[in-house]
Amino acid sequence: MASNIKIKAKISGDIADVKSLMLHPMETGARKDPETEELVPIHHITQLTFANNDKTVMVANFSTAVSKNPFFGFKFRGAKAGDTLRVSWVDNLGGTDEIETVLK
Amino acid sequence: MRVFVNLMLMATVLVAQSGCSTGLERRFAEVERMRVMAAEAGAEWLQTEELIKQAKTEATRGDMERSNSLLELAQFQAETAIKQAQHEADAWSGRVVQ
Amino acid sequence: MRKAIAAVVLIGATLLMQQTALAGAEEDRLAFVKYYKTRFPDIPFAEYANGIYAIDSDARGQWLEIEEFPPYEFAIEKGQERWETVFANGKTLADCFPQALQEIRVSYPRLDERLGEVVTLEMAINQCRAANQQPPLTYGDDEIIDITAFLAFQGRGKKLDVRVPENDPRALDAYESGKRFYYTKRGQLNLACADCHVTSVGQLVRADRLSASLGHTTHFPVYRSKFGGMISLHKRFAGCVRDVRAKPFALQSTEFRNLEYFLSYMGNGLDVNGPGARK
Repeated sequence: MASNIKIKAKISGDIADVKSLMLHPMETGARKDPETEELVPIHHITQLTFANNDKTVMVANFSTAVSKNPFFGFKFRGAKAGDTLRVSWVDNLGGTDEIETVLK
Repeated sequence: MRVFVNLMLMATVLVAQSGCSTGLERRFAEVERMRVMAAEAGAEWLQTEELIKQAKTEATRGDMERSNSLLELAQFQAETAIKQAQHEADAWSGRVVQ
Repeated sequence: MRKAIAAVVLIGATLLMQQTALAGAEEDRLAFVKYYKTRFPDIPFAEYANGIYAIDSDARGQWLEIEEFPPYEFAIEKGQERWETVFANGKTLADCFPQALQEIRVSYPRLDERLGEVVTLEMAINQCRAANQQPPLTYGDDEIIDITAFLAFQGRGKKLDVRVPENDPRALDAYESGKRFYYTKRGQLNLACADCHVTSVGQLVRADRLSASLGHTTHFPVYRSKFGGMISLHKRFAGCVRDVRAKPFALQSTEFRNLEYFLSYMGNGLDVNGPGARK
């Protein structure tokens, strides 16, 4: 299945500037369905992981404070062109998604 | 004699009751009519319809005081919206950027 | 003889009135542009396509950051899928639109000669679906907004060029109707569109700056951070009407279509740059 994560990375020197946008409803569990008036069950990404050449460079623990379709950006040192950057997330219902890109 | 008095009393009460509920219905119909006039002028305010609905609910529940004050508010909204539309029919063109 | 002269004078007067009204539309637009130029002498005309970001530098900075990774990209992709979906009869949406893909966005809104009323892009999409025995999409729902997002993206860089045909009094009526709506005070707060977006442009309403109406329609549909989703132009209209505490008109109602017609005409010459990203 095609990934619902978009990723962009720019290298400057040995620092990579990574930006990612991922599709996810990020339900807090406190929102009511406007039609049924029932609470929409909690459903959000719990952990987001970035690995460069299989070495973890960022782990982010998300909770209900992050809103729908999260945007996440960060920088890390030790990147060079040709490296494979993989980003993956897992959510509280066991859902996952991932995507890979080659740094330029 | 007593039967006659009782009948008269009953008739009075019946007349009074029917006069009261017809009056209330007429009031609701009047305010609704004004709301529709405002709507047809494209000027209906946000809460008017909801206020009338709430006033009806309160009347059914028997709280005539609350029902009346909601209905008065709805009437104010509808009347003022109509006045607004009438005024704006001439006033709008004065605002056009020249 | 006198009747003939009277007839000629009448026809002449009508033509003159139409010409005057049309000259009126273009005059209106030029006056509109001049007003904002006087108000903000340092902002170039083309910048108005960026809405509030033309006049609020702090918001502009945040917007440029968001544009590095636009939140509306998902909508464009979904829109493209829908655009290419084949109906049961073997046709697609594209078959209804004779123009090149990039030209579709700027072809609307327009006065439909057959219907005698303003047709918007969303309406045209549903007209197409009806012609192909497909149920209409609900205005304001993601399905139809995604399609307009895709078409807006494809239409980027084309200039708004709304026509108010001289020989069609229905077009002039629609334009005048939209113009009247724009300048009419409404609602419990007794405000006209112009009160905020002309008279008080650039000023703060609580924490938001008021944008200029010049170029208001170039960047729709818009991703709103507030909703975490896309909204259409008519949804924005409805929101504004609600904000002044008047009862909103229906999406794609005559009132909103005529307002879109007027506002788009005011923005003629500006680039389409939708979909946009806003608070």
